[in-house]
Amino acid sequence: MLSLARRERGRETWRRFRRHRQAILGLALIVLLTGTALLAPALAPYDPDAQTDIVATRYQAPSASHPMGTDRFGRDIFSRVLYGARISLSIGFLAILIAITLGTAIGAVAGFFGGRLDTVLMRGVDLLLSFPRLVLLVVLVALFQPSIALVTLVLGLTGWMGVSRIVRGQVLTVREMEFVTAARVLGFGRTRILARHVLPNVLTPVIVAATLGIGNTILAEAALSFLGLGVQPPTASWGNMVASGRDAMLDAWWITTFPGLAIVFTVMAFNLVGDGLRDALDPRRVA
Amino acid sequence: MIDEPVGVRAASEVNQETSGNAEVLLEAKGLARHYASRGPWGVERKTLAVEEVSLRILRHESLALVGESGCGKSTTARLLIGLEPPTSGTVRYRGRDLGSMSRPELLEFRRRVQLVFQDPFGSLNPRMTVGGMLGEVLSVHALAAGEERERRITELLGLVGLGPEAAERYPHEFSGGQRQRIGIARALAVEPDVIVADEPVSALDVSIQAQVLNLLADLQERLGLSYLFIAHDLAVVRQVADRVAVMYAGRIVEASEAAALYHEPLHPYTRSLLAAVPRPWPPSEKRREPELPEGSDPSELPEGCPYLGRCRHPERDDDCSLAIPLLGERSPGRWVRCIKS
Repeated sequence: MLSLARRERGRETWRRFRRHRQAILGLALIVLLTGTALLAPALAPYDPDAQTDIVATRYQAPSASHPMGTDRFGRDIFSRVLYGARISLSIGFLAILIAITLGTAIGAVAGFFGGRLDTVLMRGVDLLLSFPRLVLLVVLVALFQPSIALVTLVLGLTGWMGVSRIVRGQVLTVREMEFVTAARVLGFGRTRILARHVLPNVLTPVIVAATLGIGNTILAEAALSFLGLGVQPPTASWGNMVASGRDAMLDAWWITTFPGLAIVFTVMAFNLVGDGLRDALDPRRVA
Repeated sequence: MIDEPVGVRAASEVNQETSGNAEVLLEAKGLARHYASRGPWGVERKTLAVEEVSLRILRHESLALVGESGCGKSTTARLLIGLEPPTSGTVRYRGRDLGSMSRPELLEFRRRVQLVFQDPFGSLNPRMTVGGMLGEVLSVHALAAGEERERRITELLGLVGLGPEAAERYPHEFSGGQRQRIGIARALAVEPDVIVADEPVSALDVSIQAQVLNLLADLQERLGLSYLFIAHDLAVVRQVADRVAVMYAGRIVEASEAAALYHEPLHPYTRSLLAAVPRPWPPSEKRREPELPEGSDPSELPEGCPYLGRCRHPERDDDCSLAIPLLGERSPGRWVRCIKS
């Protein structure tokens, strides 16, 4: 049952979020991107993978029939950007879901139980963070046959460390609060205290981190695909589209430019929304 | 040497009462709690938070523990309620040692001894409705389920003077006084017989303080509760305390029946605490003793009597710096830790 109070607090957060112009712009972009990704089959003027008469249709500059031009196989860039959005966004969402779940679980356990467990877990995080993420990604992906599922999993497995640090820090604060003491005095078990009293009070920064993390994840997926380790052609992803156009960049600028702009706008949109959420959910202003 | 437990009345009275209604619920004997801290050069320093504290909480009575901040009264409360283990000494609930309780015994103890907090904002989970909080307590202890639970939640809210509609709402929708009532309702949900109230009104507006104190007194009457009432000034506990123990620098310095203590304080610290109580009438205001002298760093207490640096006792002399005075019984039921009183 959603109480009046919760709805009111939600409304208050929304009001603060709305004042953030850039965040609204970002949200509009995300809605647009998600919408086009979902409706790609209906919106795309061509089959994204279809190669008809290659010689006649390849390297066409943007025109009325091909708004973003065609690539070296004569495929419609606009259609491929639309279909690429499906791949990039779903990898972004799923990978961040994995990262958030892992990061929250590990950070919460480390912060709540403390002691040696905390030390072991957090030094492990330090160790993992000492590798550049791209190196970790390349090594992990290179071990297996590239696939969309693998890319998603690997992005999730390399993205949780920051979240776990945030969650641990929050848990350290919340577990000292009096309502946690009250729960102990009432004889509640530790699992219940962690799950029902501590975790719900640390989720705000996790939501912000997740939103900001989606942008990063999409960027990392593009980088992997650009290197040929991510989504494999002919399946369209923004990263492999940029890669496929790099040889002809000077003659056919549209092949790299449009998927590149898609990446830029998507990452920017998630970052703007993340910033807006951080301000709107600021714990100092939430009663 | 272990002090006699505070709150023991005159021998004849005690005998009379042990056969009657003066059942000892919670008893602390020789409690001490030390904290180790590291100084600037890594030198280990021992901080004495609580030392030689013995007290008894009797059925249907309220004991007040009074002292300035840092005197160890909140630590004493945490020890009594089992939130941290004492460095030495024992806490017994109905004769059973808290330190050696089995899990089911401890869960039973958690049902019988409850805590009410000072801060009405930090002590309620901001993400749970009031009904959710109370319902959780009832379900964890399997006290009520289904419609019976709803009925009990309404009943608990009624006990603390809140309407049933409060169950639907979140803590931030309530005022400080109302939140404190919610905290009390949560403590009552497990049907405790002892409530430790750690400065339950000191964060509230003066006009609200009296309401909450009256509520606590009323609940004691209706539910037969025992209180350990912690406060930093004697005025607050005057209307609720049966007995008073005054703490200074981790030790109990005076203990007695409330009426006698207010009428004639023995220890110079109790006297200055009483003098610090504002009077409502200007002519009597003039008779107030001067301000409490500034406290010294508790870790650098003088040799001998810990209170020596601030003491205004007319007879204080070099004897006071010889040793820490013992808590002695001056007259039946009146205990004081001062060689000159």
